[in-house]
Amino acid sequence: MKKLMNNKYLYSVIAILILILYFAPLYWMFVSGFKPPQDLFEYPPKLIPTNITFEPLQRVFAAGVLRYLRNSFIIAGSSMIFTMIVASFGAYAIARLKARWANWILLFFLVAQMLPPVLMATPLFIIFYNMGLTNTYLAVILANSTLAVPFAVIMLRTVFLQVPKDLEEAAMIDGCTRFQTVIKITFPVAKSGMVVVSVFSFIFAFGDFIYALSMMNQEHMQPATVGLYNFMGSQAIQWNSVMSFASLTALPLIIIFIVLQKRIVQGLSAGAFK
Amino acid sequence: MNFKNWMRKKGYLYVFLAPSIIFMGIFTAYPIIYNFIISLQDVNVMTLARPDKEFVGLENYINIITDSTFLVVFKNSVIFTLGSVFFQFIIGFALAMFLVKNFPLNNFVRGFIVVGWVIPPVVVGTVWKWLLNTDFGLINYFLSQFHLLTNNISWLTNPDMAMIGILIANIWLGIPFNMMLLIGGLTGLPQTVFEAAEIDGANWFQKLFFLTIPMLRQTISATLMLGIIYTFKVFALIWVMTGGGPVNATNVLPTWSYQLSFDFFNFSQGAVVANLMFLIMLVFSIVYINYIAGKED
Repeated sequence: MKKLMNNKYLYSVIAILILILYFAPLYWMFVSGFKPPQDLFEYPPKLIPTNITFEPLQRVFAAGVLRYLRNSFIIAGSSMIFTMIVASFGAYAIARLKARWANWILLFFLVAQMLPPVLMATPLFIIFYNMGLTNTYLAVILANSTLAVPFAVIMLRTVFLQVPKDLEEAAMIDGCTRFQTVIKITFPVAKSGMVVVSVFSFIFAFGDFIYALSMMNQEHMQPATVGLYNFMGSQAIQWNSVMSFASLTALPLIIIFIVLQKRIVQGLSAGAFK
Repeated sequence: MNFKNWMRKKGYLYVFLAPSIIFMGIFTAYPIIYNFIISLQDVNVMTLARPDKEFVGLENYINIITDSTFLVVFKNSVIFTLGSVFFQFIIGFALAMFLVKNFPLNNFVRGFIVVGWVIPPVVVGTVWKWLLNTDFGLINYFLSQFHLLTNNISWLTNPDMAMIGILIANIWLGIPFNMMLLIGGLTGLPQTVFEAAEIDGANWFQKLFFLTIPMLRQTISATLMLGIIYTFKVFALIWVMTGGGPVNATNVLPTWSYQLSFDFFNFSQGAVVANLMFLIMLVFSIVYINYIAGKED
């Protein structure tokens, strides 16, 4: 018994079973998207599909899934770029400022990061409405950045605290301005941390639902999350098409995750407490 | 000291800081204050664009708190938050305990479970809505296979079951986050203590309750507090799965606030509910931040 319990291969098998169990919902999403309607409502359900059809996929393409995904990329990409520009300088300043009030600013960002998005939804809607900004990408990008900027400042501050000042001073002696020093020395040194934070900002904005839902009613600008919600509600639910839409919405993030998995996991375990 | 010198020595930090402060001032601090103002006015579709909105004092607050929906929604928020956090934590903790063990695939499995965390809540909600489908959902199928039920459960359309339905989906979503934080804490524990306990003949339960949990106390409290903060504001998952229904069975503070503002166009009452959430969240955040700050000293 003791020997069996210490068996590393047994552990691996259990681990794989856990992984399969955890991923079952995602697997089911994926395969349901390739099933013809009669197989979808078959009892017992076929865990491994035998009749594969691309019809749901075609219907989803006809419903404009690519346009929705493009909008998601526009919103998430812009929000990420905006966040990184604003937050990296802000985080650098907070990391280097020794004044006591810098801690208060940090506290403000910490609290801001934890605020519920729904809290901002009503006032931001009215503010943007009165500025004539509802139904623009800009409104949704700015709204998403209200969550991403404080998050990025907090994460990047700890990253910049680890960049040695000697490097910066050497660059200053060589005649760089402060701005040049930060751009040419600090940011490149902190590159891996900055990549993680950009990816997080992108993932947050790509997953946004409430801001796009409340601020955009023009279908041609809505992101994939809102597209999926409306697609599900627009008809008697055809689950194969809905699952196909859901798979395509999740796919970009799954790919990003797989490519950058190591860094994301490190970032998640390192940054969450700070 | 001239301006150029000052800029080079210290002033540049203010210039660097300015954009983030200005941005957060306009798009976070101001909306929070504005939200408070709206909550004291009468703002609906008719008065939305009017510059002089009627000041009604605490009327909106009184209307919300005396609304019979308020107690239901508040109770739902508490049940949803505590239920999610409890199970996410227990499962996350069990997985963390297992996956910190040293065996060939531990890192692989650990890394991949985190995928669940990057998938948009809207997608997760949609998938679970299908899995929990009454007639053709996979969950009812498996439950009936194991003879755990005779009639299919209407997870999301029966008011008595809907809360459990959304809880299942949200627990699934939160497991990776809990697991990662706890793995971080577990890997930091000194192994020699456990070895000494083993020599003294401590069994698995004794090690768990007298060593692991006490030593992990700070990580555990931080994980639970963050869990509460994150779960309390869940909106998309619930909105997609039930829209707060049936008959408010899954209506929580975020979904109710959204409904009031964007379905009923009663922006003032939406703001009131959001403000009540804000107060609760603020208390939790400050408790959490204080705790973390205390830990670092």
